Amino acid sequence: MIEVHELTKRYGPITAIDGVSFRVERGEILGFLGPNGAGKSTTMRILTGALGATSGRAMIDGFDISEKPRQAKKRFGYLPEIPPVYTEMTTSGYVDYVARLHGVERGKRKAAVGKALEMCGLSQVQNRLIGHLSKGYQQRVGLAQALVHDPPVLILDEPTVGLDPNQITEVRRLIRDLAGRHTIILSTHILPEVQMTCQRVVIINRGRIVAQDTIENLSAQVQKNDRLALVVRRPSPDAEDRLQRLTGVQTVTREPMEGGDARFVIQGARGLDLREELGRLAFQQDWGVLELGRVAITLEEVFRELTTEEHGVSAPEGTI
Amino acid sequence: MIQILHIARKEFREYFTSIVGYIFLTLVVFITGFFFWTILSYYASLTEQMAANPTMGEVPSLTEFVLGNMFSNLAVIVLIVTPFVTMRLIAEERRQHTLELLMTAPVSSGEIVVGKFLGAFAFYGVALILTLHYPGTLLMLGSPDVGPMLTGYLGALLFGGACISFGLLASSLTQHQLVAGVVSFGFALFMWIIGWGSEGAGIRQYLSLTEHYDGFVKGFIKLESIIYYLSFIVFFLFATQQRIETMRRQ
Repeated sequence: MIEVHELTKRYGPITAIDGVSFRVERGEILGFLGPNGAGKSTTMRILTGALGATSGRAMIDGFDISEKPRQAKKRFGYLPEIPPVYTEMTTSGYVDYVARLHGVERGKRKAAVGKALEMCGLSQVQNRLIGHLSKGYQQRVGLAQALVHDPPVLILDEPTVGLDPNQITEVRRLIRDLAGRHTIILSTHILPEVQMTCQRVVIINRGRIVAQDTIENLSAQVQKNDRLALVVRRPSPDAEDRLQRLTGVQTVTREPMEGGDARFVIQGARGLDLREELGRLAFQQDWGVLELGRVAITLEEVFRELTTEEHGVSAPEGTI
Repeated sequence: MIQILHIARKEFREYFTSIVGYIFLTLVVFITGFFFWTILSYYASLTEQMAANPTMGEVPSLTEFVLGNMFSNLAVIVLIVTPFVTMRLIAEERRQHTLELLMTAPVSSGEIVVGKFLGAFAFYGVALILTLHYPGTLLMLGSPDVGPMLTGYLGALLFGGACISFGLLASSLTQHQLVAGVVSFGFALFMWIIGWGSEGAGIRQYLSLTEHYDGFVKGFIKLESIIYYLSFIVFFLFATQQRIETMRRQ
């Protein structure tokens, strides 16, 4: 339904996105995930024809956005990062205008506008000026605008940014309701949002795609992790060294706990289950094992790993 | 193509959703009314003097004197006020990030430009309609020539269209309405005075917005003037369309 092939955008010497390729199948919800400034908006703006690419192609339902813009544009609704609302228009007047722009026929327009307003919970404020609405409502107006011509594809750029927690929940529910009937591509820098709404994720960092997978696979990757935690009552002074010497152990960190207890976090080589060996060592040394188990890695850590590994710089704080 | 009309309709209506449109129309009516009144009273005293003193020569005709002055002054007003009509058109869309809506809708940049032009032009048309009662008054008072009235309005339409077309281009150059307004006003002023001081039919004379307009005021319809205005409008609309495409590339 959506096909992006080797998309590159350069602004003079700066490369905003570099060889971005991905596909979204019919009916799928794709999360487009990355820290701020990773190139999410740039990709989406190219995909929607708001911006021209330096090279590469973007297709919507088989129509190239730069060669057949009119056909391609009829097939999607787009909510940019900042909702493109005219503050001095009324909600219904605005949605009606967008319906006209998208060529919704005269006879169907009123029903289409009413339906979009209702879906986004805007019926109550349809006669109010958009400028007088709260940020959350304006965001919903932006969403109604993207939906009004009932497009097969929805492209939503950070649809929940700047909303309060209740509004975020509402918008996410709305997006999930839209799934199935529409193919959706959704950009966000908020990881749980992807977990809650999407089936597949494309992770972009510094203009490049660093991973694309289904949520299940990513979660599986999380569960198959090889980081273990060992909590003991009487750690010997050389415990850290002994653990370190075990085959397959890469790093050991010791976290002191109350009353002389200690917690060791052991990073094993990828795909190696060291629990048995750890247990044996701990019993031999009579450290008094209290706990032994895997450390749960969150999707967040996977994300952070993916977005930092490649370039050796840490993702800025607060991007997750 | 129907989208052009939808865009024009929206732009036209927008002038009436804010107070700006009403202020604008009020100003036009007020100032033209003031001109009409002063010119008419001057004409009245002039004809009285001339009747008392036949050596002053022939009395100028009502149409020629009152309407001629009326239309000349109208051009100055149009020149000054159209930047206020056009400055918002694209600059404000960029500032409010709504241009993205038009750029990603199934409309071409040419349709956007023509739609916006027509919307502003229609609003300008309303302003002109509000001046129709002046020639109407003359028709009731005396028997003026209808011809120069019609050509005068044709000239005013073309002249205003030209002012709107470059105002639209100015509006696409910046995100700030005021900058757009100042640029288009400055350009309008220049196109007005460009013919000054050059005698005869030089290139500067030909380029002047007002020189061509004078012909219409005097009651002539010159083909070259119509071509001048139309090509002027087409040129600036094309430039605006190119400007929007450039924004897409950046």
